[in-house]
Amino acid sequence: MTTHSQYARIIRRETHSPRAGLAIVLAIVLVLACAYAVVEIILALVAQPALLVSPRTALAAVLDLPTAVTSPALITIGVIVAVIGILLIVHAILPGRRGNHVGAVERTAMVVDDRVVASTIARRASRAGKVDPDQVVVTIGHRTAEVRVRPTSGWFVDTAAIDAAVRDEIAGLNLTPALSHKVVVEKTGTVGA
Amino acid sequence: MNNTNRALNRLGIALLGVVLLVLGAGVAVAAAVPSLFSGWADASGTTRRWIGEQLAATRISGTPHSWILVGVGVLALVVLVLLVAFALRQGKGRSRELVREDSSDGGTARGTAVVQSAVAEQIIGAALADDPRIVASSVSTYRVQGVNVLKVSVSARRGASPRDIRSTIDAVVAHWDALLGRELPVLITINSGWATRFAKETRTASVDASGVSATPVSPAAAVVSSTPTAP
Repeated sequence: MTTHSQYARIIRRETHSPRAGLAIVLAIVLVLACAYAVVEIILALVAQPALLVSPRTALAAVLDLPTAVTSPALITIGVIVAVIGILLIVHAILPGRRGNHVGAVERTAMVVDDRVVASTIARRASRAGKVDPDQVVVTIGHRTAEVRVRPTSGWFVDTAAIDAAVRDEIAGLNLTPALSHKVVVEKTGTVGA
Repeated sequence: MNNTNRALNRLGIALLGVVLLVLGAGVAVAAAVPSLFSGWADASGTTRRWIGEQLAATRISGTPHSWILVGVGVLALVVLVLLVAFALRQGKGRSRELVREDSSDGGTARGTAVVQSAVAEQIIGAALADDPRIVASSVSTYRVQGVNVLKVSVSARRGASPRDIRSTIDAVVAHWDALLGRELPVLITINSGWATRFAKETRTASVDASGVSATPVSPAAAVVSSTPTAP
């Protein structure tokens, strides 16, 4: 099969954020700023009154910054701008993983949402433990699956059976990265389930 | 899966981040340190004189304006156009044609055969429509590294096993391969979208390891959550 060379790229693109939303928002902000600057410059060139500030006043305001504005205010503004800058840099560098996992690549490639994985594990666990599906909560992390079971008050929960069922389900899914699981039986039971 | 330039997105975000960080930190530090602050006030006076000279030197004859102002305006316009182009380029890469074949084997009949993407999208979509484990499906075609790739997105019914759904789709894909006569890459994405949330939970009683078959489960499903590891 010669189709596999594209799968690595496709899967990476499906499991990581393109940062398109942030990039588009920033582009729109900058576009509005540029459009405003162009309008003010044209108004100044044809000797019309400025919308808000003329280019000359704006330039003067920037140069007057250290004398016109108190330094505590300057420090505050500077820190806020710097923090926004750091947040942007962090977003540019972090992988931006989406909440999903990759299945084995065969004829086809598969990417499955973590909520679907959680839902199938919860269903399997509730059946193995003979508890109502409402009493099972599954949390999927990047490499972990946590199964929390709230027992029916006065009834014994077969942790071993749930553990075996979850292990079997995870093995069958064969996801990348692999999930290690943990079954937690909560101390408080539920009444009348 | 589309051909959004992700490196460019990240580079642009990082660049703007660095500019804001340097600017913000510079202003804050200069305002906080008295010696730097007086230096800044002095420098701003010098800069004012320098800018005044530059503006006077480049004055457009007969007007009070400078060429620099016009230049800044043109620069802003160019940046604006580039940014709009950048924003509009996001998310492209869909392909309308799945296969295009020219007869080039030296035969007497010459021509081009085209299979539209819509053929695959409709046939695969229709084949998945009746599956009880799948609430909704959509098929689309993207061009990736010069090859058309089919993306089959399905919303799973709550509690349905991704393994079962995949084997269903794999079987459909095998039929499609036979129909088309070649194997295109296929990506399956199994989601839990709005359709999943509003649909009834699965009642297909698959027998589990202990041999106990499931009783019909209550419509109120297991509370299910997921935690992405990074923003």
